[in-house]
Amino acid sequence: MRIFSYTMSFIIMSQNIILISNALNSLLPTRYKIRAHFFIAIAGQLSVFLGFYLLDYYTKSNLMITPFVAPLIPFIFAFFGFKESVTVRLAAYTLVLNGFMFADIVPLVIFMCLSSIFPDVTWLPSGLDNPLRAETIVPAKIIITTVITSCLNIIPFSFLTKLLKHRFITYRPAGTLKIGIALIMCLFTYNLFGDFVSFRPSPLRRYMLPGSLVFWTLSIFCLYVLVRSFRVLECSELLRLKKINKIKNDQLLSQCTRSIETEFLASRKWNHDINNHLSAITRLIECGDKETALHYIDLLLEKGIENQ
Amino acid sequence: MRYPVIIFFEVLLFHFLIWISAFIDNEDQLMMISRFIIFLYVVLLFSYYVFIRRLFRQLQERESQLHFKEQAKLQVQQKQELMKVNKEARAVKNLSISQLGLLRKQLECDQFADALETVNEHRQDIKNASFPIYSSNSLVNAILYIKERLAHDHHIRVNYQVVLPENLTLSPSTISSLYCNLLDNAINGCSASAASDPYIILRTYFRADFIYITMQNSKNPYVHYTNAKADPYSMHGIGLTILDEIANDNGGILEYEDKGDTFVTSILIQYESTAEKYKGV
Repeated sequence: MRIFSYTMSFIIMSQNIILISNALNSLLPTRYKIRAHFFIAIAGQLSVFLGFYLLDYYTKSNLMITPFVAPLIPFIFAFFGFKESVTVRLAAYTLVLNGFMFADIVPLVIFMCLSSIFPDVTWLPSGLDNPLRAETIVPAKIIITTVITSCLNIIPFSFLTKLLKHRFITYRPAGTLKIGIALIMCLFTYNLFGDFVSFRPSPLRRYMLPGSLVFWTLSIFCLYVLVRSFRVLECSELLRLKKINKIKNDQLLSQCTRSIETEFLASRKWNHDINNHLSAITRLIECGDKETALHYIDLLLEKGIENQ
Repeated sequence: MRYPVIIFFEVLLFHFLIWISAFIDNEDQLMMISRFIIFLYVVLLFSYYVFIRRLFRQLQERESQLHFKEQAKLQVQQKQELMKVNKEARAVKNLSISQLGLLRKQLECDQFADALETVNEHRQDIKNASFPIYSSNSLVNAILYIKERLAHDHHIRVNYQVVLPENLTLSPSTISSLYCNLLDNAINGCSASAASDPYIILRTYFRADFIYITMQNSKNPYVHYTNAKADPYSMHGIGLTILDEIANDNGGILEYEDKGDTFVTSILIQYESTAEKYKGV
């Protein structure tokens, strides 16, 4: 029974993370080689694993390890040989991804730390007041979250990116961070509350009205984000298709322009030649050489007709 | 619209079940709800993926249909444009032939003074009828000529000051895309400006390894273009996005400024072969 309760707890907290990180994944710069995305995903996940490992190891003494690990990501990307702009964008993305993980885990850890700081007060939800459970819940949650999120990050990279090619072209790292930080804060609050909801007996029962109000406010916000992500994806896909079509039109236009350019060059050459011929005829007329001038004109007329 | 609504209700149900589960004590009931929640979660993820796929497929089909129509229209326009240029070039040739015929007659009749006058007049005619030269680059010249004519059709005053380097390493398609998008944006902006004397000023010059292109055009003072985001439901901003990409790919930068009734676009592009090293992965 408890396993179901914990699984449910995990699902509450990860469902939005997964969907939102999917939406964020789709914003990655897929104009670069598709194959590279698999390595990007692996690199991203390695960093997250590393962060989790350290977080798990130092759970009670150093909570801030993930944000310190995350800035190392650009170096990982640099190792794979990505160029500057790509690295910056991916670093922003990975920071956000790490932030999601952080928002998923830290609400639980907060309760554990508060308990260790103030041992006389029961800070833990009833599901976590048993030290044995506390020791199993956090690592279990870390493992489940990491494994599932890893799969869900690699799948979009390798499959969805084929559908979402050329996505991230206009998306700025600053934008990723802005959206990401806002989402992390929302998820953090949501998870903090989600942890309370899912443990038995639920604190919602004790504070039914305020608890339910907070729960539904946060739920509606999550619903809005999810539905909005459809719109965002639709817009970006439409933009991508329009851009591809515009580039194709530009290529068509380029062909036409080149034909006109050829016509221009031919016309300029013809004008230049006829100008020189007219200079010659003028000189012949001025010298009174009528016969040669007539012969010259006849030749030009023949040539001109041929050129037509 | 259908897909977000389905997802919305799925997630709503999902949250509702979680909320309800907080008030259930009976372990069997809780077990049942938990199983249902997990099942719903899987369905939610699956439907999210399927809906996105369908949505994209629909968009792709719709856009490809629109693109075919657009391309057919563009081809007709281009054919007409090419025919016009051909016609103009042929008119000069025909005029030359007829003038040579007249010259021949005048010489046969020993009207030397008239013949000299005919020659001078014809030289002036050729000079007037020649295609204008705006730039040393023939491709840029052709683009500027086509766009100038388009601008004149919209009663827009055009002023070009284009100085390009001889060893221009940019590909013809890049040059074409660059100037066509830039001038198309300007013409669209002028057409929508409702100004009494709309104008376009295009300046291009080069220094060191960079080409500087600045374009100034009239615009509607009540519409502000401060956001770089392109609108996917119209073609607004797509040109600027493409220009931005061209600038980025060539180690340069695109900037634009809304000055009320004037819109200024500035592009800096690296044209030497060293630009290669700044290209993407």
